[in-house]
Amino acid sequence: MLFLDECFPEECYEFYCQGNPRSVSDVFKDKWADCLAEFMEQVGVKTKIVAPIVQMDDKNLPRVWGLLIVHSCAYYRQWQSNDAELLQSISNQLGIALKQSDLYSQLQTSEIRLRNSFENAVNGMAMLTMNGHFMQVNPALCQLLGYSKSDLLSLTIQDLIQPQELDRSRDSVQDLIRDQISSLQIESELLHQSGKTLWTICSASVVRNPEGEPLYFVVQVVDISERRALEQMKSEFISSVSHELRTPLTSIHGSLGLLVSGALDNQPETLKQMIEIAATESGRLVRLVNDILDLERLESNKITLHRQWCNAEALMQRVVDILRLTADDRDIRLIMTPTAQQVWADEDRIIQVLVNLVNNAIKFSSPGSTIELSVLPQHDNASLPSQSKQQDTHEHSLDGDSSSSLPILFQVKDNGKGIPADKLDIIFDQFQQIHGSDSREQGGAGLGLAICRNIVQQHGGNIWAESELGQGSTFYFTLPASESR
Amino acid sequence: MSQKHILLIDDEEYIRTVVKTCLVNLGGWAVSMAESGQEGLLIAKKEHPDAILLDYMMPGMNGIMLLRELRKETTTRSIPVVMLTARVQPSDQVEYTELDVLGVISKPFEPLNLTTQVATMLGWQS
Repeated sequence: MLFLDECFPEECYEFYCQGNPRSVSDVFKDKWADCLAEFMEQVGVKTKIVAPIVQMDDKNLPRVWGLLIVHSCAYYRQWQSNDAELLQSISNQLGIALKQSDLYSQLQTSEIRLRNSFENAVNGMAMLTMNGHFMQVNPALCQLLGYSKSDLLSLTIQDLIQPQELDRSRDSVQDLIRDQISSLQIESELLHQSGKTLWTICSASVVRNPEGEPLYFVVQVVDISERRALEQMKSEFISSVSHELRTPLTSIHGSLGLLVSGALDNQPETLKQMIEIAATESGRLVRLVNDILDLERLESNKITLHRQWCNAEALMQRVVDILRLTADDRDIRLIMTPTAQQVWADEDRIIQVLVNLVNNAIKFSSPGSTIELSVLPQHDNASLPSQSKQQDTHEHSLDGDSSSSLPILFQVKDNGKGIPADKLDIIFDQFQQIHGSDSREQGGAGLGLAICRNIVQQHGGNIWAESELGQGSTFYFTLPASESR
Repeated sequence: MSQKHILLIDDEEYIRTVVKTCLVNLGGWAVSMAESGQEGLLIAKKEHPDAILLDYMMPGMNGIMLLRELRKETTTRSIPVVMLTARVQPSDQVEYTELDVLGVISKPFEPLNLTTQVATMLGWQS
């Protein structure tokens, strides 16, 4: 702020700016402060010395921060030049102190800002001593690794990394310390407090003093376990798909190649066999590709369910009609329990689920046996062994619904060869087949049950199986009874 | 030279049929077939074929497990093996080499070249 009025003329300001004190031997005859005369009279001032407090501004130009003034009121004191020098030197000290205090509060503000960025960062951040001890950690890192701040501060980074990983990154860390690289990024498994490991990307750099000596590491840690799991799933899926595609393709390519070559022209039996193989296996390929696309659309929620009230008995009747010929071929009887039950579902999709389940049952049943389809409100089945699983369904499907409507339970029961207990859960995963080769002979690609599970879950229901080896299997799935969201 | 005898081990029935047709019709070889590792091991011990054409991915005893068994037994240790498989990753190749596999033919294979490829790998040039 500049005082550009008659009380503080510019030449006076300039004079002060240069750090000059001023002795005024009679305040009533002060050419630079006429306006103060009245005030001086009131207060009873007779003479004064004024010493400016000068500071450098942001552009390093002097500015008058204030004035230190000594008044003489008792008499017309004649100020000596060393009086003025003394006062000025006090003013100068004051100026320095004020400047320090300004700088200190600026530093505090910037320190608070930096600390807040560190404390509130989304990614885990830490400072490490050159030996790897944690010096500072932020809450995101504590949460990521499951440690309290104080626990983490008592550890070293070496405590959290597997020995083989440490060996692997040792050279690059040395390069970083020697300033041969400016930063380092390592994809590494860190040990969570629970003992589990966690996939992360750790980025590190080194803070140095002006002489270039390393002081400490600054490390950022990003959790990539979800991404890793996805990548793993994707690569397993691709390898399964590629195997499932190659198998029929091998037969088709081989049989067609032989046919085209003419090598079998005088063997009509073998020739016919090759044509049959090509036809059967191309059908298998078509089903596989359709299933993959269907599953992909279901999993990425690109399919909208068209739910309506449907009659459960009519649904089952459709399934029986669709599969009657297949069952007859193998001398298997399909029976269904009559019911008046209504279900709130996408008819086509539920038929798809039932066709898949009954088709599987047919594949693994021996001639002369029976497959039973039935549907019940779930409370009629309180004696079922899988209560725990059904409770999940209760919670899920009755969410926000009145308690009067119970979930509906569908059952497909066969007397086939059964499923080993340890496979009961994984059969609903992609490309899982229990009976290896013989289910492939049946043309299954291992996606049917994964599709079923997806459809049932999208309806808000649950699907599971119970089985006894040699006795048969029962597949169950539930559907919410009414329009629950 | 007497007729060559090959044991073909693959869990896929149609692939067995197509491969056998190639080996019999284009190679003029005698072919035994097995649909699993276990069955293949039994036949190998009993029939001592001149070579084995082996799939990797089979339920139960897979191709690599079978190879390890073969290499343990004195009677089957020196039977030459060619893999016919979709598993042709570098990590698989390392395993094949360790187990003295003479060659790898990837699926889908070229039916008209199959016997020539197998014969070359086995050193059966006429």
